[in-house]
Amino acid sequence: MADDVVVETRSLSKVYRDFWGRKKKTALNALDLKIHKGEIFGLLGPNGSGKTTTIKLLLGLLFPTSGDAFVFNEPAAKVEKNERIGYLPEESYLYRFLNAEETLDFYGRLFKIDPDVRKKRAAELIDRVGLSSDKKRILKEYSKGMRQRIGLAQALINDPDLVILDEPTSGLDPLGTRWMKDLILDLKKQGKTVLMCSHRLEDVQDVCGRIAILYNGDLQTLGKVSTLVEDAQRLEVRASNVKESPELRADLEAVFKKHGGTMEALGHPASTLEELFLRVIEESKARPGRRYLPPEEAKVPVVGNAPGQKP
Amino acid sequence: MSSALLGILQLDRGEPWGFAELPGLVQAWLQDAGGFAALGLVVYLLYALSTPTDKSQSEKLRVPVSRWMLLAGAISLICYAVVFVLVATGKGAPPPPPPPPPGESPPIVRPTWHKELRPTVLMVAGLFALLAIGEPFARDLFKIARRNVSFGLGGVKRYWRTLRTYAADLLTPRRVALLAGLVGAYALVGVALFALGVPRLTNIWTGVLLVAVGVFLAALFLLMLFEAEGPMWAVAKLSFKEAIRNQVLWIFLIGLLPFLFPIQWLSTSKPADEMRSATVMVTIFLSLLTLIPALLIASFGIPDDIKNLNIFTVVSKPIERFEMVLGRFVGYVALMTLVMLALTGVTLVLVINSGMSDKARAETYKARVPLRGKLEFKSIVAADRKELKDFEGTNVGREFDYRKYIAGAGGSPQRAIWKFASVPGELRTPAGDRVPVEFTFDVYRMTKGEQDKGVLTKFEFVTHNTPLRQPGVSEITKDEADWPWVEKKKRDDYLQAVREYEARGIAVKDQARARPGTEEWKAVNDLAERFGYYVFAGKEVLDYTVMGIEVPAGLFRNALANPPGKDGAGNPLPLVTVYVKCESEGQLLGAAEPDLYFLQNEMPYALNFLKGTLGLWCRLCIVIGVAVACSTYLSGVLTLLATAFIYIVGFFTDHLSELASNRAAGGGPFQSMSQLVKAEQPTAPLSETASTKALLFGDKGMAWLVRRLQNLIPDVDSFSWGHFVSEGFNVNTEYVVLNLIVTFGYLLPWGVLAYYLMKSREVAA
Repeated sequence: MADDVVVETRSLSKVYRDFWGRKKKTALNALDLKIHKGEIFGLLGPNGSGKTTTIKLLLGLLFPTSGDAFVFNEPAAKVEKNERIGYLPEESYLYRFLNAEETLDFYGRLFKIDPDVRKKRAAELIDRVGLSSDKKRILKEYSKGMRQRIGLAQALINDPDLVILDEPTSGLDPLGTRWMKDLILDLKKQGKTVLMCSHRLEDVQDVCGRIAILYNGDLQTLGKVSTLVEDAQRLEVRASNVKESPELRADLEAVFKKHGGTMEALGHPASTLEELFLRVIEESKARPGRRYLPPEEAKVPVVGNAPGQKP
Repeated sequence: MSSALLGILQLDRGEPWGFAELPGLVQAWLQDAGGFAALGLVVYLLYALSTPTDKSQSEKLRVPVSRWMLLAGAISLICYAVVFVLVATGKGAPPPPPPPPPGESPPIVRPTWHKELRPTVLMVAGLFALLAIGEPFARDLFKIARRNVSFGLGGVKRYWRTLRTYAADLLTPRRVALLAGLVGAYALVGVALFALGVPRLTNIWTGVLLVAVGVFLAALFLLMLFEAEGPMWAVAKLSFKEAIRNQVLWIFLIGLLPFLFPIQWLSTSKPADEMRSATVMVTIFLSLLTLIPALLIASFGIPDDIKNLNIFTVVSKPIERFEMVLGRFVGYVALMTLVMLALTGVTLVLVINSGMSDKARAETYKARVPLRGKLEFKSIVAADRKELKDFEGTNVGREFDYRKYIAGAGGSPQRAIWKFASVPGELRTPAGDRVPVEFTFDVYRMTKGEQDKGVLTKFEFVTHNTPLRQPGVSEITKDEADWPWVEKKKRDDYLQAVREYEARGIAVKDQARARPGTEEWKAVNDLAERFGYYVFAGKEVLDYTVMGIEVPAGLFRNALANPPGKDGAGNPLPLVTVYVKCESEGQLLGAAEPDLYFLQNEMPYALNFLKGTLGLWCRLCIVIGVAVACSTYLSGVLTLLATAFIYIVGFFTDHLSELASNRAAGGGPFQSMSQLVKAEQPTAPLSETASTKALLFGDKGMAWLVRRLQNLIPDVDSFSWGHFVSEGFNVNTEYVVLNLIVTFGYLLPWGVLAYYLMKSREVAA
């Protein structure tokens, strides 16, 4: 195994069986995979495709039916390898009777982190995930998003070299999602390797360098996101400060025709809903009191100021 | 004579096991645990075969099969083959125990070390099977120990830093203020009680304060322990916290409330039994208040982790799975020990300070240290008896055949004889130059006798220097049946010495009249020391009532003056022997071995109470250990049921023993079923047919199976010392130490089982 390979699976298979040993389902079938140091790798696939099974096999939570899995050149069954791994499960499965500080202290102790370092790191992480004001509340009182944040903090308590994230944006609002994606990119900047699985494709596309798509336990495709999503048959041209008009359309059609192509569409590009949402929230923060007014009330513009508020 | 001190201790299972039984217990453990280990080894090797260990490094690491394992397994297999051959050829077996007298159940066999070939080879086979299956377990345990225990300077420094950090977090100003407030409030209550002059409440206040300080210190110690470096301690602390924040525990503590009321309100016993009843009740309450919450908490810990998927975030950290199991066990045991400590302390304070009658306190508010002897029944020499065998006590047909009986009459040669092989040196010079003897006899009346009168009994105390012998039929008359002295001249000298005292006006002929501190008592002491003989005749014994007499210490000085000689068989003579004769015509006197003892010493009740609770602590460990082990594979509810079943069946080990030895009346299940179907009497002799043989073979097989299952069941009663404490008898430290050893021996195989179950479990499946 090359030095920069952090995760490797060799013909890794997992078959679920019932109590009597009868085959129930092949969750993973001969998966060969290599994840390199410093990359963000995404596992994609619909429900039941084998994404989470792969992660559980890597962590030793499940045992392979055949094949092998290695993390940091160590077999997956070796407990010591976990010292360099941070894991965030799909749901934040933490002890609900502990508060945030106690939670991080407990998980930190499992890594035998020095008490002073543990305390300092816990405080930093709580701050980083934005739970400073709630650190004394028990997790039972946390919202799903808050639990996901503290879950991420516990995954980072050991300052891991490999971070495994199972549906990291699950349960997060768009703000939280963006925060999580920024954090993942930040981890990459720190030189850490990230393995994440998700079925929120836009999230994966935003952060992952390479992806693997699984379906029914089989690896369907593997490669760089940019390469995989590129449509070589089409060409996209963007321009600014140009108004749409019949003349423009005719000119463009003529140009494309000259080069043997056909113009398919001309119009204003639409931003994603996420971008719209973030823009609205940012504007709201910048202008406290701003609110939506119905058209008949506001005439023009649709979005205006509250009564008595300066424009 | 001073009034007897009352306390009846019925040891129908014999004296509790002590260090003498330890070698036998170890051998039996190696054989039994080894059998399970061999079975486990086979299952493990089959599992390893079905796992792709040859292709997957992960699986090879997870299911290791070492050369040592195979070698030890092979040696074990060879030994089992030898045992099989020995069984088939009927060689090398230990001698079977003597059959019990007709109509009597066989006595409970005390464990002894067997030197014969078959048990020895079986033990070796078990030992190697244990070594084979225990190898990965021991290796991982060593690894866990290294990760969690550090005696190096670096480890100590880190630990100190942890404690400092922890203390800073723990002792927040708010908490310190709260603690100070509580202490202040309690102090005010104490001052008020002192000012009001209510000594009992003040005593309770002081006692509770002491208990609180003790529990506080113990809690502090445990919390410090939990701060030690290592994942196991982290899980232990987590379990501790989880259980505390679980409201089940607190609900059970409400059970303490009844103890805030006088015990007499809760029990309707007669005044003399108040202390006894209180102790029994307190023991039962303590058991319930600790064992039930322990069972509930321990049963659901790991299953809830798995159900709630918390285990994902734990097992994905650098922690061995068994480390988690151990952490859970340690955390629960620590918590329940604290709970038990608090409950025991508070109940003890309340019991001690409850208003009980002086009689009750005199009877049972102490811990007697008895010196017990071996009991046998004898009469005239066997050659003169019609049955031509020694008298072994009469069975009067009572269902509870705990006691044997001797016939009463002036001319009855029947004796209940207690032989004391050793006597502690301290009995040479006891306070008052006297040693109390206590006894409880059952009077079985053949005739009506006198109203409210007991039967007359004669006690003869002799040392090895003055042996008595069985009389022949020619030596007894209708009115006289004394056992003659072996040395006739000594007897004459003794009678001469008695006459000399009488001539000096000191009445020693009827020694029962002599009272300690009198001239007569000095003379009786002198006679006992010179001749090794003391007789107390005409003692009126009431039915099933503990009574006592006092023996001159001179008897023990005589016994300890020189080493004992040997009897005809070459065995050393007992240092002291007590002969008991019933002198009332038409009455029978029943006795069992624990019914008569010398009172060697007395210990404080409170200490005895605390020693008794150590047995409860062992049971606590067993419940938690079994529950945690079961929970590595079963769901919470099933764990709860399985543990409760195992524990409750533990109360019926005698019945299990009957089934395991196939000696139940009416035979085993197959024979019983056959007799039921054929409407035959259970006592009817079986026909010699092939089907009968098949039935008996089936019963033997069933007995073998029950014998194996019996090993899974703890002997719960052997950890219970409530009857010792309530009757005012000292709980020998030896018994408690053996309890601890047996607990460890019982839990170790469960630990190995938990290790393999947890290791082979796919927690995310």
